[in-house]
Amino acid sequence: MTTIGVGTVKGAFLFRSGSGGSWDLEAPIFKGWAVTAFGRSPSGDHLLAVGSNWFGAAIHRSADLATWEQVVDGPAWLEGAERKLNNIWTIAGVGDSLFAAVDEAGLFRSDDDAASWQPVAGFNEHPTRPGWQPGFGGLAAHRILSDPENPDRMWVAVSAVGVFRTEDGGESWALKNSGVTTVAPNDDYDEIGFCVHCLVADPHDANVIWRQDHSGVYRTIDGGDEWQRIEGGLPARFGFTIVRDAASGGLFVVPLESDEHRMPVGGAFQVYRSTDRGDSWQVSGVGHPVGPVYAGVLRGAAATDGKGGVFLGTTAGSVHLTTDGGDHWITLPEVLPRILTVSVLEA
Amino acid sequence: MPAATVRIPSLLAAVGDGRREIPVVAETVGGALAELFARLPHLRVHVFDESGAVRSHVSVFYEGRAARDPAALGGPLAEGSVVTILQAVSGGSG
Repeated sequence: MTTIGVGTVKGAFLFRSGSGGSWDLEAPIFKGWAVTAFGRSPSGDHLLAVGSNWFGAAIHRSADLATWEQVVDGPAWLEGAERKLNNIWTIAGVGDSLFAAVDEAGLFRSDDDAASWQPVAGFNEHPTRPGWQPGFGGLAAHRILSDPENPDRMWVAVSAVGVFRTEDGGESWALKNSGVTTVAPNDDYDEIGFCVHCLVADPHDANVIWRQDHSGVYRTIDGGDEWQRIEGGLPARFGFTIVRDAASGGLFVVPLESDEHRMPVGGAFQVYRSTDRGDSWQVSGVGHPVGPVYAGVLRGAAATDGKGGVFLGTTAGSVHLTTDGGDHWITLPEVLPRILTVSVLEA
Repeated sequence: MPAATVRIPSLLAAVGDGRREIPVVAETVGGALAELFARLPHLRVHVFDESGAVRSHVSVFYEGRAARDPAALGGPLAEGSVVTILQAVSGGSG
């Protein structure tokens, strides 16, 4: 059975695969809370991040996806700090540790199975920090990649600052955005101003990374030292998410018409797939909505199960999925609140 | 010390033990909140922000008055007092 976690602005929803290709929706959990990320602790507990305009952000944990308990000593800026912890946008396992990327941009680390979290000073107090500026969605650190062969190598994406890389477990970080078009140039720090929206890496070669930026779609083959545009066949270069199906190697993006409009081109909601590592893109299979859809897919609202399943949640609350690597798509009938994050919780 | 009650909104009850009313024994409004956080420590981050102040879209009421600043949080409780934490009307987004 596959369980998909869908985090929305008003709670989380779990879909469980049933017989005959059906997907059964369970009652919402964390009603009223924005659910911004899912994760897994080293011991196997499920983790879930909530946020609220009223009550701030926190992490909860569960052994069974039914009973949840808040982590008391979660990511938090020190009391008296001017920074606010607005949202926790990703929780990633790196080696035996966990890292959480947050808005207002920062990185936190747990070495005790998510029980307590400490700020990563080398990242949070980066020399360029005074120049960091938010994108429309806030000043958010939101993606974490790591090298399976060497957990001291990590990449973190921050909107609208850029991609950072560490080679020493987070002690020091270098900006790695050469070749990417800047969208928010900074007079004082010429290394920043890149509005990265999403990252995904080749699980067999951590130096191969694809990124969907405000300014387009890019690929690096050297760990981020140089990036090249890879937009052949796309109807628009803007978008938020990019994911990779480990079974087929297919890459998936959802192009949106310009950063000014941010809607599917012509109202045609179509997922684009690359089967040649980003060299070219085509409409992914069949089964996309027939009628006009003017909703997009946000950066965290796409997930894969490693066996051909790709799951997308839209800003209109619909869920689109394929279980055969993008040859055939279906749209689930349920309509949820605006979807922020999608994750495969059980596969 | 007076026995009082702290009422919390449903969103906070849902991430706690489900109770909307938590009995406390405290001298002041701030003391009642401290007692609340001693029993349910995870709620503190949801009521106070990083500056140590009540969150901007959270309201604390006592005797029909807002108790937001430190002086109001020092207001004395009486036997049977009720301190209410509310999510403010502001802060919503549709």
